[in-house]
Amino acid sequence: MPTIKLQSSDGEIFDTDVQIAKCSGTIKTMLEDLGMDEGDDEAVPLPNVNSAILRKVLQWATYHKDDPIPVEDDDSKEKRTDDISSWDADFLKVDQGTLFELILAANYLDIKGLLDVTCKTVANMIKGKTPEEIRKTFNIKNDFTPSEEEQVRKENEWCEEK
Amino acid sequence: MSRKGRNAQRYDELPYEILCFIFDRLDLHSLKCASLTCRRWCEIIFSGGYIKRFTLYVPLVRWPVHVKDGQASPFRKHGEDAGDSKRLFLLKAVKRSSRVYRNLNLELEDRSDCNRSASGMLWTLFEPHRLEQLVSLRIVLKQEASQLLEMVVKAIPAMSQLRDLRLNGCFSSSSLLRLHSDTVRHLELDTIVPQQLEMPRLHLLDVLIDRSAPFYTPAHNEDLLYLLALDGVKELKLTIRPGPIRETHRPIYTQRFYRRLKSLESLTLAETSATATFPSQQPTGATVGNHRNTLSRVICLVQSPYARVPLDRMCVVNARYGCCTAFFTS
Repeated sequence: MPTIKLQSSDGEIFDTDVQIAKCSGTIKTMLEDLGMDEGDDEAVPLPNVNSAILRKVLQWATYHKDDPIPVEDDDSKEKRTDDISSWDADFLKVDQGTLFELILAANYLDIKGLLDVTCKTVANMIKGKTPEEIRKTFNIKNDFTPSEEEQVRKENEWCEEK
Repeated sequence: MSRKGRNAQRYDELPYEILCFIFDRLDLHSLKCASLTCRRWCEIIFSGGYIKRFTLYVPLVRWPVHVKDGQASPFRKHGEDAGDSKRLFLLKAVKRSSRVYRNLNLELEDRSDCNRSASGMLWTLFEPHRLEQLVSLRIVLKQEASQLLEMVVKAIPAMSQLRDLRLNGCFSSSSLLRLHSDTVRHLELDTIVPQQLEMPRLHLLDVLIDRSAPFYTPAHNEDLLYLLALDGVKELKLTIRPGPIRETHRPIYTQRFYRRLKSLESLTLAETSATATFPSQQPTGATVGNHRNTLSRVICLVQSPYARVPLDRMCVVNARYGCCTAFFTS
């Protein structure tokens, strides 16, 4: 099985199956554009992903390596969030900080499936919470003035489903 | 703090496209809660991408007697309810709002003593930069509201992105309605029928005639429909709700009406059961007769110019008896 080397931001080298590494659109493009081949000793640098997160990402990619390519749907309606597999749900039982970094890594590495499932997890954590609870959960700073907040609240009352 | 980049883990600072990805997966209620957490989320949710999912509902009905600086006059009429203060907050909120809504649902009701604040509200909602972003507009007439309705109708041509227009209500003033729009593709009329309709891009016309509606008169509603020239309409849905007043029989109107539907591809005629307003109304032979009349008349009318009127599908539906007949397939 051909492998390539990936280098995390903190310098750790990960020997990775090419097929798994190519789950990432970013790595796939890099390999193609730079003409890097298996067997090359040069490591692909990933300056935006640290080793802890890269390890998680590769764990996810290994489990999902045979998944079909997700189809793009551009429907502007609400998308479902109740279809997270139990493996993914277990995999994403992590603290908010790790989840946050996984989202950024999935976005940077262009891994559609991982981005999808992490964003779904965040959406599920928002659902059913009050604004204050959402802020607490996600470490969001309330930068509204009291009158601005009141304005949003009052105006929202008159907003209905399309 | 031992963990690296604690400050970087602020979800409010996630890249725009990721936040959109998350918000895509929220229902409307959760989206509203999310908009209340911080300015950035609020701005994203109520900017172009998501505001499409909201409709601003504005009831211009039973306004407080005098509104000055957002305060209701202490001389309120007896019986005005707590809804007044809610509507006052709406007025204040809309005046201060920076949001540009795409969908608007207006409920109009005229009351001589409240007209000023209601029209003030309309002025705010119809500022030019808001008008030109409107995609869908629904107008519900709760009562005679000629002045307010006129204000709204005059604004319609300036809504340069308007696609969907729905009108609901039945009052005598409505018979003088003239509707113009270069962009509307979908028009829904509930009993109210305009006297003049100039909508060159109209694709779908969905009409409900409620013969049991108060103020319903064939001359002001149904006959007006048959006087409309709908050359470009591809899809027509006509639903009749029977009432104590029978249709008028002006075969010349209806004949001309159907002959002028030159671009029609789909025609659906339906009849719904009588409303609860007239519980004594029985599903008698009269209704069936009416239905058969309409039905046979259309078949006769459509058959002669059939060579010239390419009907893809003609469908006659009778909701009560559950039968549906397709006549033409070409």
